[in-house]
Amino acid sequence: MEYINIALAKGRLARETIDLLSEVGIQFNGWSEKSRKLIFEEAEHKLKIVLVKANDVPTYVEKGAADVGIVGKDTLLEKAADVYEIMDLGFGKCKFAVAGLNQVHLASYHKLTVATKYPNVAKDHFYKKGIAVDTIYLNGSVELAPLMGLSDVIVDIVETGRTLKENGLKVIEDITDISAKLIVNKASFKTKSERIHQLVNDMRNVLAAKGEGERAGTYQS
Amino acid sequence: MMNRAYHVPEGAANLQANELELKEKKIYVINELFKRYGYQPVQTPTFEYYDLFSDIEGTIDVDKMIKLIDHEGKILVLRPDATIPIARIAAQNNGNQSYYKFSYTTKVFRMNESFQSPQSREFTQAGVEFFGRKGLEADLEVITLAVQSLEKTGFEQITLDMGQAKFFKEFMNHIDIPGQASIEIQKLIENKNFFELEQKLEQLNMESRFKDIILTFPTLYGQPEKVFAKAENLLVNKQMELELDKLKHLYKMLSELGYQKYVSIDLGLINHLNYYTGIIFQGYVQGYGKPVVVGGRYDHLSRQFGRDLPATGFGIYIDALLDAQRSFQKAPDHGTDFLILHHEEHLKDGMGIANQLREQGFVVETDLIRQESYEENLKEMKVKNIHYIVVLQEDQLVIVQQGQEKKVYQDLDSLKRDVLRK
Repeated sequence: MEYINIALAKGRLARETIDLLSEVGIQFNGWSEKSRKLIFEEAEHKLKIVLVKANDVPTYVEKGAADVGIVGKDTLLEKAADVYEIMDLGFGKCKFAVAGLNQVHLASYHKLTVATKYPNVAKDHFYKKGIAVDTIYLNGSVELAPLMGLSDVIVDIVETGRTLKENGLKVIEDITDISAKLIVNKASFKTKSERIHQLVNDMRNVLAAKGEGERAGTYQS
Repeated sequence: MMNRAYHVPEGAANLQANELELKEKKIYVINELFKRYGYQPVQTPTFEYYDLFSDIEGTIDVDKMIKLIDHEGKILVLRPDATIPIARIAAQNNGNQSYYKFSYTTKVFRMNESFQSPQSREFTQAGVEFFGRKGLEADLEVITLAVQSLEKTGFEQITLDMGQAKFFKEFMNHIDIPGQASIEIQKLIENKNFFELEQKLEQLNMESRFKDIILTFPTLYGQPEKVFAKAENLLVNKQMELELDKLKHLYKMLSELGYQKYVSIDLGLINHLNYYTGIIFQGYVQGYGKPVVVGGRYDHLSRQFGRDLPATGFGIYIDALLDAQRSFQKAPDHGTDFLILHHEEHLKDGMGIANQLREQGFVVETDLIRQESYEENLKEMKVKNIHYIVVLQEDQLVIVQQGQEKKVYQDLDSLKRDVLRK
């Protein structure tokens, strides 16, 4: 029997997924957060998890190097991937938001400068509102941009809002909610269907029992 | 700045020796099969007017076409789809044949953005188009041919995923929802995104039984009998029933031929090429993350060229077949059987022996003797995969090998007898 490979976004999502899998009865021995290992195996169910950067999860899954992936909706929104987006996992909840120093006036009559790690999400949001924007791509610490006069506002992920607050920024408007998604390679979905459906169903049942991800219940196979 | 002269453009690739030979072999096997089903090869221009593809409803994304401008300012594109130009041939054929069977092997060009793998923008497709028959027997023939092409090129674990483009279309026509919402719903069904599909439906004003049906669409996949049973509950009109019946009937015929082990059904399969009008299918092979065969029925395409010809066909992504087998299939041994070395004064003898061997099917190279030790030649033997170096000396033929005794033969026949025994 072939292995089913699951690509996980390193960090919190990986931790939550591994917890979820262990509730399903799949234990990855040797897994610890401090480990530098990138691959963990479970021989009984023939499952393998690989830890990759969040941005790379859709790449692994679309190309078929991984059959299944768990990644935030933020990553999928920024970079569209040709995969099945099967299930909302209900964890990793946060939102995309526009934030700035004061009540910046978001109007269409003047151009807005937006600093972000998510240029596609930012452009799409403002274009839909008919606001012309200059997007400035930054790799991190996006909150700095309005403080240093680099941009009018930022578009970023907001979880608790603490980072924004400590830097004197506030949310101007919400863009969309984000949570962790389970994605599946389109070919694997057909060629390893039984086992993938089983895995997805098991996860859904655990989530439903916990009351998390109420909507995950809509998945049926 | 990088020197572009050193780079092959993104999405295109050079192909050499073994890889190319493997590819040509696959193409040969597939074309032989097409021929034996009575398909005649056709070739269409590499570039066409932009209008050919942009005017036709529901073809490929215009942004993905690779455009050129001719000296009069007309826009040309590199062939972004193999089927449309062939539909034109079929429609413009003034013969009195009731049906046409065409096959092709061709390069297709698309400015694909994601994943700049070699061959993502220029790739080889081989396929067939069967015009003039609207019955299921044509769909059956084409699907059988797709499966056999994969079998003949060395695949065992094949999944043939069949859908019915019209089943969904008939439903959407029935419920009549605004265009934009319909496109979004279609996309969510295609991606099996249950979660967002439900969210989307909440915003729409629609009878709840229709919402339930839409929510069922992404679950209509898997084992054929089960899917058919589930789909029966969704019928809202006669047309849907008719379309479902066709798929059921086709499945029955495929089962009779012993292909049911390969078949799965996905009624949420809605191909990005909107010209499909009936049964559609995709072929997957083990260990490869994308479909290697895509096809289906497109009854309205040739109408756009002035003649109504129902049609069905498919294309195989040849480069994908090679990628899928890379891990376990070795490229053929692309070597030279004999290297004949001779002095310039023995040119005629050297060439004579070489030609005799070539006649018999051996791969033979010739070269002049530059040094009596043959150092250089021996060094190259391994790299170039040369099996024997034969040196022409006075009246003798000598086989030289690295670190071994020379073997001397009086004539070509005795050399061959000795060598071929092994």
